[in-house]
Amino acid sequence: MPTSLRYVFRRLVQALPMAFAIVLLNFLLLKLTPGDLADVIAGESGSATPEFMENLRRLYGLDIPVHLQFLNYIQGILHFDLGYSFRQGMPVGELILERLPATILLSLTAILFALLIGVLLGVVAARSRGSLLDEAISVVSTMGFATPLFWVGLMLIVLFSIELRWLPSAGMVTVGADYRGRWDEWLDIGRHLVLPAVTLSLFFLSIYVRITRSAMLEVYGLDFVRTARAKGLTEARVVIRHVLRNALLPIVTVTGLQLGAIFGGTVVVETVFGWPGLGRLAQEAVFSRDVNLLLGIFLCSSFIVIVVNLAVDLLYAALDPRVEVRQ
Amino acid sequence: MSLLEVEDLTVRFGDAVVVDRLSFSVEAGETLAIVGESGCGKSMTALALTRLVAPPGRIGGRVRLDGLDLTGLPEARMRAVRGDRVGIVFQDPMSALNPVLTVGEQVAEAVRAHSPLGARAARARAAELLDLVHIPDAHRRLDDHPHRFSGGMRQRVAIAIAIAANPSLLIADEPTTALDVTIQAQILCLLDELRRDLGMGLILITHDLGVVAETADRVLVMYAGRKVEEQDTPGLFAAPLHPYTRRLMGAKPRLTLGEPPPRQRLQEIPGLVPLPGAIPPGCAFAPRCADADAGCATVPPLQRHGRAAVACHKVELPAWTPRQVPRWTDRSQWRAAE
Repeated sequence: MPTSLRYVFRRLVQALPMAFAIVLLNFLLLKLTPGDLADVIAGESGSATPEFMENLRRLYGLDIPVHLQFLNYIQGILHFDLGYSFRQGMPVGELILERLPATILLSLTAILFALLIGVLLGVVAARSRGSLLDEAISVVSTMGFATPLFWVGLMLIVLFSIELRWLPSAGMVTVGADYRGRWDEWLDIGRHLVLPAVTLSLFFLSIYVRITRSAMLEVYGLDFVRTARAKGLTEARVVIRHVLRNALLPIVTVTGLQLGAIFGGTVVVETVFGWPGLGRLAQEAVFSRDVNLLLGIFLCSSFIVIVVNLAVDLLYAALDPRVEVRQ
Repeated sequence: MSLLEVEDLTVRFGDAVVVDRLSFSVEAGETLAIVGESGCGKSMTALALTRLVAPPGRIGGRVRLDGLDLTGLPEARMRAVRGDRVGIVFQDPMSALNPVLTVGEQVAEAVRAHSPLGARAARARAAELLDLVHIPDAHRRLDDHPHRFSGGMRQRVAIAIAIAANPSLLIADEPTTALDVTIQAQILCLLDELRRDLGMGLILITHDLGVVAETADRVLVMYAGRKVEEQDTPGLFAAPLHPYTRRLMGAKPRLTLGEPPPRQRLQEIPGLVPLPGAIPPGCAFAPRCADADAGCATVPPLQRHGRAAVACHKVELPAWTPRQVPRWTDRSQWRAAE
């Protein structure tokens, strides 16, 4: 439909200034850090003459005016040239590409798990409003929200890896494993994924439980639910097709916002579980003062958040037919 | 046997009695209007008839539809009755439809709830129903969402949903209150037309006496959850019996086409309908009634006079001889008599 295509196009155009602002901010952060690249390299080598520093600055284009440096920076980004990590001895772009899949796998699994269980518990809580079950779900989800992720992660390792020995405690694959085929490898990754994904999902799960519960209760009171009942539909059909379908709208909105926040969570969880993703790369970059790498990760994750929010907006428009009118 | 027989219908929320021992009947093809101010239990009566009263509300008494006792029916069988034998149209068409489903999906859903039709056949039937309620270009509009329809059109869709399974009884709870005056008349005509064509009994819940005069065969006046008067429509307008009914009539502006409006104040009824749970002992209307005296301290019994009934200590009904009260089931008859 042309109206929905127009909507997609408009949202894309709206995302452009945001992307520019992020690139600018990133560049300013790079410039605002005390000392430049030449200082960093000189610091690494232990000693350097002023001439050597001068050469370095010329080599990395640091001797030209700032606005030209910015243009160079943008040009670099357009070619996915995010600079060089001297600590890791690799281009930042390559490092990020290498770690990105692991983080995406972890984040998506965690979000899907949180959505599935959170919405389910939210529906159950709303259906049994005021009962002991409702209270129990509310208490547990509040605890999930309030408990620090790293602590939950450590406790899960103690319970499931050390005491019960059911699941591996760290990494993404078994070191030195001899896989018999693709399936075997995936299964191994899956086993490693369980604990970090569950840990990461706990925080979001509690949010979903609360939002689903309140959205369901709100929709329950609306007139069209009464209409649905008056049609003689079964309770399951009323709940799923009429109540939950409408309660999904705030859930989708929040998921969009959460997907940005989940990146912060991956830094902690990946560190605790030794998961070889972008979050742990960011943590390594912070501790080794690898400014280039850190800013590259910032930039990359910012763009991911923009794209995801765009996708969520489009999904929202697909779920709520009234969006085209509201614009 | 009447199409619908209601005996001592009672709805309570804890100690608060919202509908108090209400009895009435509706014949096939007949329109019964239930009137009263807001908060006197009309809508709760509609919900109670189909057992849609939300918890913690409790329903008592007996409701028989086509001889089937609905009060004792297990919930699963009650579901089979809802939407199939009884259709309901609610007050606010702007919120009565699900905003995220297309109109076609919502009508077809009502069709499929009570028939073995497949998706395609149900869709065709939905188009037929939209056509029946005079939605122009029905086939093309099946895929539109409710926000693309005006209030009057949405009410037509709601009516199409209510009659989807050819119910023998249609309950319309203030179907025109949320609509413009011109649209109100169209919706009333449509309801009347459907009642006639499909042979349904119609319960029309309203606070608008103009609506009553135009559509109803019989009127039941409710006050504070109780029936205070019941009459054939011409009888009610010619000689309202209960002081409450008389005051309701006095509160209604009288306009005649071609004449300037009378320059006199409308007669308001002082005070408010008592809240359920705070209903005064004795006659519930007594605190607002000009005729009330010490004799009104007990609940007035319902005096019957043929098909007319009134509950007031101050009204004496004449001895009833069956010939006096004609049965007005055909509206053209009483319009001619007016």
